[in-house]
Amino acid sequence: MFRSILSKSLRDYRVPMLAWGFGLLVFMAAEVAMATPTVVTAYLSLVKILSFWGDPYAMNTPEGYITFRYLETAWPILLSIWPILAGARLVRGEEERGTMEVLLATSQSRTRLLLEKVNALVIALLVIAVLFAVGVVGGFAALGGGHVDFVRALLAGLNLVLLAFFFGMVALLLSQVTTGRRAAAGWTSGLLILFVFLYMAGRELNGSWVQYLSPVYYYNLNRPLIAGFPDQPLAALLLLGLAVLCLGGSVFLFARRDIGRSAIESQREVASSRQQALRSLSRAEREVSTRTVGLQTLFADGWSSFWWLLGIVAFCALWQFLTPGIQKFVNQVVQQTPWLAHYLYDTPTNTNTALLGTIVFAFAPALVVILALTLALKWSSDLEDSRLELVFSTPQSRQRVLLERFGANALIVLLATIVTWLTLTIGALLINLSINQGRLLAASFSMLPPALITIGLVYALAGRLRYGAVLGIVTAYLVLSYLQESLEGNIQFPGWVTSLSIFHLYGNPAFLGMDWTNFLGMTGVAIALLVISLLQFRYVDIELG
Amino acid sequence: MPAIIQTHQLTKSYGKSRGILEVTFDIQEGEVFGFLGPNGAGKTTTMRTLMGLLRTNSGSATIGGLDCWTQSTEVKKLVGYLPGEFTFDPGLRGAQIIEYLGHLRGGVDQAYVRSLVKRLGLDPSKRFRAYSHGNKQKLGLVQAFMHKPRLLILDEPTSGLDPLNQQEFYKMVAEVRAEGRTIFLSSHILPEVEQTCDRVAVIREGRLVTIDQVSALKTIRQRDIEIAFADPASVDWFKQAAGVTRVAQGADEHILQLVVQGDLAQIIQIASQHGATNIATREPSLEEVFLRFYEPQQQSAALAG
Repeated sequence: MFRSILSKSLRDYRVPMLAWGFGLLVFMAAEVAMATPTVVTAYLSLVKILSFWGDPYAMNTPEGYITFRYLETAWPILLSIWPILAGARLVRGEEERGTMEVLLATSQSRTRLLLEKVNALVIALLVIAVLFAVGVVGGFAALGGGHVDFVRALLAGLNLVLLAFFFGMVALLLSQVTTGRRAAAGWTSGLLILFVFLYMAGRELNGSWVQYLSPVYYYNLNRPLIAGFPDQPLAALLLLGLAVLCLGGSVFLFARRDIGRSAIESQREVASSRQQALRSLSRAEREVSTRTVGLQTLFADGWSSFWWLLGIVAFCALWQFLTPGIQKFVNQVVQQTPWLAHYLYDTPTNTNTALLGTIVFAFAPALVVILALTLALKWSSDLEDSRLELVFSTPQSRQRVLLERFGANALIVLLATIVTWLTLTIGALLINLSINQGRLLAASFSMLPPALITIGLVYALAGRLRYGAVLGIVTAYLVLSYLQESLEGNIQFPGWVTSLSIFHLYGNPAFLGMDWTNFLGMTGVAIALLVISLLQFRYVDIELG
Repeated sequence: MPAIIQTHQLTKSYGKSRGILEVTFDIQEGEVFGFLGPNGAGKTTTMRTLMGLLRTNSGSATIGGLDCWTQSTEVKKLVGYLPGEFTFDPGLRGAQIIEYLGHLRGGVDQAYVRSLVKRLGLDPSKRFRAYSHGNKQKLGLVQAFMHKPRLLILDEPTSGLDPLNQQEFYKMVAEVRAEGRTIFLSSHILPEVEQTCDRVAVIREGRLVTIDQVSALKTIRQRDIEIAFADPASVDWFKQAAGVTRVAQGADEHILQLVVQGDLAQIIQIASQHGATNIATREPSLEEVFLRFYEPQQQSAALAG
């Protein structure tokens, strides 16, 4: 596996490749197998409400249902996450770790190095596409009827990974002009969301030209799962061409720029005079961020947290804006659809607050928990990368450093809950929407304990386990927790299993009000995890990375 | 002079791989103490144990009478530390890192920070990711010296520094010594050790091999002797002789090569008994003395045997 950059990169990608591939396989197999005529017919009634989500086509068939529900917007967004991260760190990650210079000290040219790494990403995405196709074919085999053959399923998978590859290449290109992989990944993620919005907005405005600016539009011009859909292979070629253009730009810039520097600002960094350099000390003296570990953590997480909070605001505002217009219709559909009523068995839709609870608070806790996870994982990665060695050489106790980092993470999570509450409250005032303030407050602030448990879990594991293990364990727990809660209406789980899910324990405060038992219980668990973190961190070695 | 660092039977193991084993030494207040050893010998492990970053399996270590593990926060008030390798948030500027660590330590004189930055020619306006290895090392030195600590623990402090900055560093060491403060540094550069250190310890494969004044190590009379015999010679003749640390076959079967410490009387007597035709002696350089300490034990044993 270490014979070439290609094989080494493939080895690096093996875990995400298999995790995403088999995850997609299982998901698609399960969802397609469940796309029975009853489910498809029931879903038809929701299409009018969800028309902003995608462009419905052949909705009375399982292929149309699966394409609309999962392949138009949801999976293109989800599957693009990993290629964006991989593209952003493709060469910038090596530069940040300091390994790029060693690689370039070999006889490999920069162009070849970059292309081999991209080839590895392409192979990984192709494997994911094949596994996706296997899942789809398996699902249709279980469903019966022989709707989709392997070639069609594979084409759908290839179309999906082509879009993901495009975003990966955008991230790669942006990583040439930013100085860090996080910035490149952040900007590309922002572009992804923007393109999705452009696609949605363009369709809502009756085919406005703005959708032509979105690669998601060109992706959706091909729907290989649907036999009668007028596919446009040129659209796929256009996406491929754009991806190759980004790749070409990346190769051009990477071959010419300084290693470790941005392609556009390297000279500015070099040109600081001695006086300017010393003035930077005076500026740093005045900076609040350098005062404590907690403040430094808050400022370091500032921009990424800002975008997260903005995303939460946008998410809440969008649904609040839609709620008055769709509430009665949704309620009617739910009442008339046994399948949907069963699915939403514990979340009524008969009031605006209830519908907001059903829609917003089905996803907002997950968003806040993922935010908590991303924040907390920096503790684990900083420990693994030895970024805290100098901090631990100062007279700050380990416990204090941990507590300040935990506190900074908890504060941002608290801000997320406040922002959720404020957005919904102010939004309701602006559009004269009658909502129950008490329940809204309960639903917003009940998101705090699950997020604190997530942070506590990461901190408790981080002292003993490597970053990859912590990421794997906590992510698996969160995904299983969410799945368990989502499937609760359809599958009966033992009581002890449901009580392990933080999303189940979060409950439905949007219409049931605050569940103090669960709130305090989860807060207690979070505190217990923090205490475990503190106790075990007293005794662990601070390892070198 | 009181000991500022005391270790007793300090042991740290990493499972099957070696750490340090029963390391015992004292460092007196006001001295500059050098720590030498090949890569992986245990220098960094010893220093990180003193900083409370690693927990020992057994033994004890104190700094200023304070336990390095249980009272590590108090210990760090006395210490300035430069790790062998360090990294930081790549987006922070040098000035921000200095200021941040200054706040965490407390008691930092900004004028002194500026003087250190000027002396070492560090550009604090750059981001950490933009620093070369040498500039990172300068940043590390600034943060270690900036609060004028009672004790400086420096892991290979001149690594990556250019000769001018190395000279500046030696001046800084001399100033610290003149102020009665203590330095514990590891190094691979023997002239540096000769120039800066009062005493030196050599660690090999996790164990302390020797600890002495640098001047004493210089005067060790470890001589290389080559003896030629009329007939084929055996290494067994000299194995038990007093002062022989190594004996090996020479260029042919008539020649033996010995390393001898101390008096040569017994060597001359044995050589005479076996019909020696020529004896040549040579005194090794200080560098060779250290290289012998650096050699793996198995190799030393093989040479001796």
